[in-house]
Amino acid sequence: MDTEKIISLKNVCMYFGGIKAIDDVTFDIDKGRLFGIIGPNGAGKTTIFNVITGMYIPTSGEIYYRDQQLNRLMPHTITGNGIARTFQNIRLFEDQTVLDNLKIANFSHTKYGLLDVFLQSRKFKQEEERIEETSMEILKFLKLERLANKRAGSLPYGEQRRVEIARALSCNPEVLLLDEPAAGMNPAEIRDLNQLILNIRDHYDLTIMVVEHQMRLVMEICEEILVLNFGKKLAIGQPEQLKTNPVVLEAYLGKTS
Amino acid sequence: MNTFVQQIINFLQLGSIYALCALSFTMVYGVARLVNFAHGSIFGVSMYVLFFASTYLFNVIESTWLVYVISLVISCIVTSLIALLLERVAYTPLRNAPKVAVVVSSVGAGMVIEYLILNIAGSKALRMPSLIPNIKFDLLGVSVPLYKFMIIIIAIITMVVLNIVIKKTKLGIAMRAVSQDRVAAGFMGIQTSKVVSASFVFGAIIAAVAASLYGTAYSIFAYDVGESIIWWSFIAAVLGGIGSINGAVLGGYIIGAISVLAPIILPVSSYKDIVAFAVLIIVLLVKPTGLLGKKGIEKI
Repeated sequence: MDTEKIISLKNVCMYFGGIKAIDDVTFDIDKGRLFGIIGPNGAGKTTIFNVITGMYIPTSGEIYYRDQQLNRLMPHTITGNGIARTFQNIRLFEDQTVLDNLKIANFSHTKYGLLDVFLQSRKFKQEEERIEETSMEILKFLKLERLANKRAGSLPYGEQRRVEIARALSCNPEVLLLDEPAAGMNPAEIRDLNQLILNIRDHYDLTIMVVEHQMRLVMEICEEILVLNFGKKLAIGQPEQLKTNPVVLEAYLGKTS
Repeated sequence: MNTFVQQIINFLQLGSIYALCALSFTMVYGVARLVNFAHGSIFGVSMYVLFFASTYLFNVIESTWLVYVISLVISCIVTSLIALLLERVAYTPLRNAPKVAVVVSSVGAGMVIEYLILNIAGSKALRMPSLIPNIKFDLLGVSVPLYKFMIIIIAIITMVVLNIVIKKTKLGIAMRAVSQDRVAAGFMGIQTSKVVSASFVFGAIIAAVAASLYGTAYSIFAYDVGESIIWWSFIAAVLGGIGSINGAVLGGYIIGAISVLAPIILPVSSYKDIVAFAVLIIVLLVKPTGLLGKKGIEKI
């Protein structure tokens, strides 16, 4: 088994004034892992995503993507390097079609200039075709191809979530960060989503991080789970180990006497 | 019949100039969500650059067309650089400040530029050399000067090119993405700060084209030429739905129509301002986002 580390956080802290959103968190993620982050509301789960993807600069500590330190890079650079994400409260480009949403994410990889557009050069047409093809491929894989020309904002909630995953895949990432992908879904939909996340990981050969409330999703598919509480690392391990971990049980179910 | 054709042409000419001005104003708002009141001064700068460049070039080059093209290019470059400087100095440092601070900063920056023009070029009104050959031709029995046609044609070409850039190019699609959700666009690999700078450059270039048409149509101008232009383009942009490209064009032509029609129908020509503002107020009462504007979605 390949155990190359792809994401590492070393003593990362993120303070907002007096609030310690993340407090001295350290962990590594192996390449190809399905890695879950759980914890009660306000535990700092999304903040971990935000410091990895460059939305916030951590107060202290270091974040590595392979050997590259991410701490001070801009979000677009980090995405360009191979880390893509979705959002807790869906942030699609609502006025654009589903296909255009994917194309936007794909554009940072295109190579043509302004002149090519006006001359309708071969380079332009080839690149356009290539983008359209890769975008449609991703949509097909997520069974969304029939929605390609629908306005993103007009879709029902569950489909918007899947379009967001498709859009993140269009960034051509190595690491995919899913922020509460199962929010607002019923048990049947969660079962489908679980299967989808596994398929995506295998098909695109990704490392996936999932932040989730739904224990069912995390416990069923994640191979390693980080438990946070009030910004602190409570435990890390395989789902089976955590189910019997007294510290975790205490945080979730209250103190047992 | 004669007056009718003449008024139609006057309406198209005036509407085209307003449409371009509103378009240049709405570019920055559309992408950066920032009301750029310094934009009138940018317009003023391009008038002066155009004046000095063309006055000089007429001594060297004979072809009027060539003078027009070269001085327009110079004016585009200078105004773009000033717009970029403006962004760097007056807006970027205030990125995280309250919106009011940015608006005040833009008004201040506009005044700085305007008074710099006053100090450098003086307060005397100037006459723009005619940049389009003085030819007249016949349309439905009316003798129409070529420049009126050129104003309409150049404005339409500019709008079509802008539409292609926004709809088809990488940069244009990035602009639309940033305009809808700047944060998400960044996470999709788009370098948002560059896209915002590009919107300032676009605004400046369109303003320079508009200035060349305004100069051709009215020729006399002074250091404060941008002041009334900025108000009318702001009104046109808000009327059509600020941030919306088609809205700015529509708003521009509506203001143009009012300016041409009102003096014909109403007894006093200055009533046109009253009509324009009344239309603006009525439209905003019925549709607060403007004719083609969309409701802004604020999400964090």
